[in-house]
Amino acid sequence: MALDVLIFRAEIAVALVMLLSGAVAAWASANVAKRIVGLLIAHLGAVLALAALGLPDAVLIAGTGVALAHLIIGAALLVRLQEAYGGVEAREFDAADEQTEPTEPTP
Amino acid sequence: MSAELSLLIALGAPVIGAILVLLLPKPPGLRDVLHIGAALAQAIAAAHLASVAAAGNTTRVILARPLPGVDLAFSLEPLGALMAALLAGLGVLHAVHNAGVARATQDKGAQRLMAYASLASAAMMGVAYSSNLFTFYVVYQALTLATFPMIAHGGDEEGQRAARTYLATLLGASVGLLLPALVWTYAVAGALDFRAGGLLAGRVDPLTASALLVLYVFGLAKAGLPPVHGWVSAASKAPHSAQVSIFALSVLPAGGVGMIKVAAYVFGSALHEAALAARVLLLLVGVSMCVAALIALSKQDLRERFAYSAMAQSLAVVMGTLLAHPTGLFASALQVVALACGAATLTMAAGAVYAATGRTEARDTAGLGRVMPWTFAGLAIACASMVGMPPFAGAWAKLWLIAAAADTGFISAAVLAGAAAILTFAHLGPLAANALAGRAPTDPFKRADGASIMLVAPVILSGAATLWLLLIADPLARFLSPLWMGGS
Amino acid sequence: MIAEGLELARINSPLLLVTGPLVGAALAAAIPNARASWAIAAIAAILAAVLAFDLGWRGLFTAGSTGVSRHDGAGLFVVPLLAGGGALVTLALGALSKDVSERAAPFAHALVLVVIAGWCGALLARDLFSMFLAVETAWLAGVGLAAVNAERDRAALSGALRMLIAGGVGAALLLLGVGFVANGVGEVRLLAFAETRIAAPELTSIGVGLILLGLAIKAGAAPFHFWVGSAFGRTGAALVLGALAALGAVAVMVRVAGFAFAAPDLGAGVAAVLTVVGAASVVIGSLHASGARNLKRLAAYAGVAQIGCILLSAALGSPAGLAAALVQMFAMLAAALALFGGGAAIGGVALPSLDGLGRRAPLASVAISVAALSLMGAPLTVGFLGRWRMIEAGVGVGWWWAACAVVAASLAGVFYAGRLIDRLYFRKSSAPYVGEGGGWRWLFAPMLVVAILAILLGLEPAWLLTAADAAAARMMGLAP
Repeated sequence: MALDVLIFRAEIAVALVMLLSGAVAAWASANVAKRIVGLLIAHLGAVLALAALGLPDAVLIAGTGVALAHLIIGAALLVRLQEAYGGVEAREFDAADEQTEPTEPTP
Repeated sequence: MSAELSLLIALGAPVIGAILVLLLPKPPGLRDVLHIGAALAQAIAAAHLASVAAAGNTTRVILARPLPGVDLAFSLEPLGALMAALLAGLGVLHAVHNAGVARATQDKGAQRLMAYASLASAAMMGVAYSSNLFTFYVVYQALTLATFPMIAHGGDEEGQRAARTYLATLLGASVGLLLPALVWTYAVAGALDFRAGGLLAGRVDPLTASALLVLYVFGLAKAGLPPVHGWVSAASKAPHSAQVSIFALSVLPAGGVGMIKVAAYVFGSALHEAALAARVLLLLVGVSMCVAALIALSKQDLRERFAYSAMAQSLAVVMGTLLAHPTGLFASALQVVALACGAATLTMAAGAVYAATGRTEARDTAGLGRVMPWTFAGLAIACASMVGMPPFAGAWAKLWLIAAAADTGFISAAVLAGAAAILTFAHLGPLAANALAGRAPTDPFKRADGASIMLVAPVILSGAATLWLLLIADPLARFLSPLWMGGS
Repeated sequence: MIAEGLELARINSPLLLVTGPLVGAALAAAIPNARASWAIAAIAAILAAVLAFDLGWRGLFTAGSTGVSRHDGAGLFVVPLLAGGGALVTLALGALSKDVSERAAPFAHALVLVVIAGWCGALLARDLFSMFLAVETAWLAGVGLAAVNAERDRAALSGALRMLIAGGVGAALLLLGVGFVANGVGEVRLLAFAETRIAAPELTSIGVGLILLGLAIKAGAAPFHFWVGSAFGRTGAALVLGALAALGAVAVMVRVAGFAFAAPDLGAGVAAVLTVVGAASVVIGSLHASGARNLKRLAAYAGVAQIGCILLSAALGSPAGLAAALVQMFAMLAAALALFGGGAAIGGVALPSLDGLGRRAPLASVAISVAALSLMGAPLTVGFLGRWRMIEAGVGVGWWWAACAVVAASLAGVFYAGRLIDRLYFRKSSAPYVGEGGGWRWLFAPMLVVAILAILLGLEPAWLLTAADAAAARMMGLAP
């Protein structure tokens, strides 16, 4: 019994760690590919936690499906960004965007 | 003509006039006729309503129901009827004067000034006839919005900056201070109506009453109390005819009327609970009156001098309301009357002088009285009234104010009011004296025929208006008595 | 036969409101011609709007059967708003063809319909998991829309990426929250909060908190607002996102909160989360809006500030508070349609391009000005009405800071919205006017006119207040 509880808690802990680290990676990275991977890890962490909690399989599959959808769209954006900017660093995008941003002239 | 119809005409005629003037600016004669005609219609309606109120009747018009329990409603009561009739009458004179200035200065955009003046006049009617705090707030804001374009009328950078300062000060004070006061009142009293005897009477403890009083007094920035008086110097950059509207006919009187309505119909007897705040505010008001009069002394531009002078007079209105005594309220009402007539005369005279001679500085007016006798006669009368010399209106107002201060034991307030009167004499007296007694300047006029009658007649007529208060002081007291009699 | 069919449609209207637009989306995407695809999308959106208004009318004003549970008030109020706004936006999209390439246009039309379907589904879903799926569908469609004008302006890609990442993290939190709630309550039915005893209150509380956080990220509420500026600022679909996505996200939040308030254990936690997020949103949204450099960013951050007020109203936890939140949602939609729509109609985005447009683009200028007045909380507009109701509700439970928040939001609104009116009417224009050309420009008119009228509803808002009160009563389980 105690072992079950321990395993359960370990699963939840691992899932939460995945979720958090994925989220941090997704938000803080400069590299677009790393951000998307971080997102995927975060999603998988959430699905793992759901599995540990014992939710029905349909929920798990659908959750994974949503994660996949994010991955696909993220990959598509990655490719387009690479085409448009020639790189995958967020800093470059921001710098390039600032130059073309319509601004207000000083009065 | 029914009272409801008169009320609608008093509120609506200037709006229609404004639209028509904007649509039909040429020929200038048509524009002037439309402008003066609208003002006349408004004045007739307001006079009718004043007679209805004198007979003891009342009426109510509801324009919208924006909230459950709160209407956008206008109704007739003695104070509002008096103010509306007075300001509408002066408004006719202002309309004529406006036309004269437009002709003399060949202003291409004069129809815009006329339209905004009409809209401001309509909003002022709304202030006078408002029957609850919500309506008052709406028309108060509308007044700000109607007057600020006048300041930027010249089209230059300085005017636009001044207009933005004006807007920021007034909107900031009303949204940041007056609106919370309104909301708090609603939370305490459950309603927003102006009630004889006071909406808050018996419902507030001293701390709440004091806090509310502070919020209202500073929220009503149009009354001109520092530190929310920044709009005064901004508005003094406006064209001359706009100044008449702002300082004499709409913005300053709106602050004054608002203060009186709040003191009489929102606080009522609850004002005694707020004695703590009232004392401090009275001192602030008194000192500010003197400071404003001093600042006026230092200004050479006639517009700025008269603006600060009017501000000092408006502060006297606030002083009267804070005294929490029927005599004080009566004094405030008289002071609004005197302020309107006096400031109208002064600013119209300044406008006439500018239009006829192109001069705007006080030092340049020496001796002009000899070539523009009627104008400066009116100016001299107005100066005397503002200082408080009998037998002009200002004297009666000041007299009642000092009597009220003595009655309630605020001797310091009386002293400060007296000091302010002396300082007013200092900045207005020599002006009038030099103008009338100095040597006449050679070739002062820009046009060969001097100042037209349209410029001069309003000045002397509004100057004469300060005399009639002498005759009707007593009936006026009876007429206004519901202000302080209800429930207290 | 037809009457039976209509009756069948009525009974199943929640389902139809989701599937109908989805079918329309599939059709619109399949047709390569941009104009034909737009026509199909517009028809589908209008039909959905009609169905939604019928649903709302029956549910809130009559006692007719609606196919939604008797506890579902938020959906009945907001779904007509979403569908109606969606129809107007879809119509207006016909005029924005110059922003989107010929190839991408059918997909853009399809995605708009998916957005509508998704948020309506999220509001009408019977259980949390369906709600999660609907939210994600709508969100991902929104991301797609954000990148729709990428061929004209590559910065849209960067904005879409930020939106995806932020929303993705939100999705993970949302999923986790749904799982916790399912575990804590014992089942995933949304209504179970009110009707069953909760087995594990702390877990459920955490779950609800996670759900609200995830949704808050999608709504762009502070402190999760960093994606809002770049996503809205450069996208061609700001109109759709601003009007529909933001409204949908905050409406789902209020819906979940409404159900959670019905369970006594959860109320305090929910109120705390909503209060913190709401207050932060009001402050940060107002600050960013004051410093915004173009109209889209300004409108987006003004929306964040409005979301803050809505969340604060909902945090009050009373029927009055929820009703105030609903009224403010109405005001938010109207302001978004007018601001974003007016901006799209004018064509210029940078604030200097607004100078002096008061004369040259009268309808759009009036729409932007009226929206600015509503944001300022000027009396007689519906924005003032929403804020007043919020103050009334707050004072009713002794929460004075509600009044402070409203005053702060109004003051900030005076500043940043006043700048708009100043530029439109009181400055001379410096650049030549490049507005949307062609006869299709008239497609903006319905949206702008409806938005103006909606804002002016503040003059006589009786039925709006009745609807909001009825919806709030249902949400708190007080309706018969």
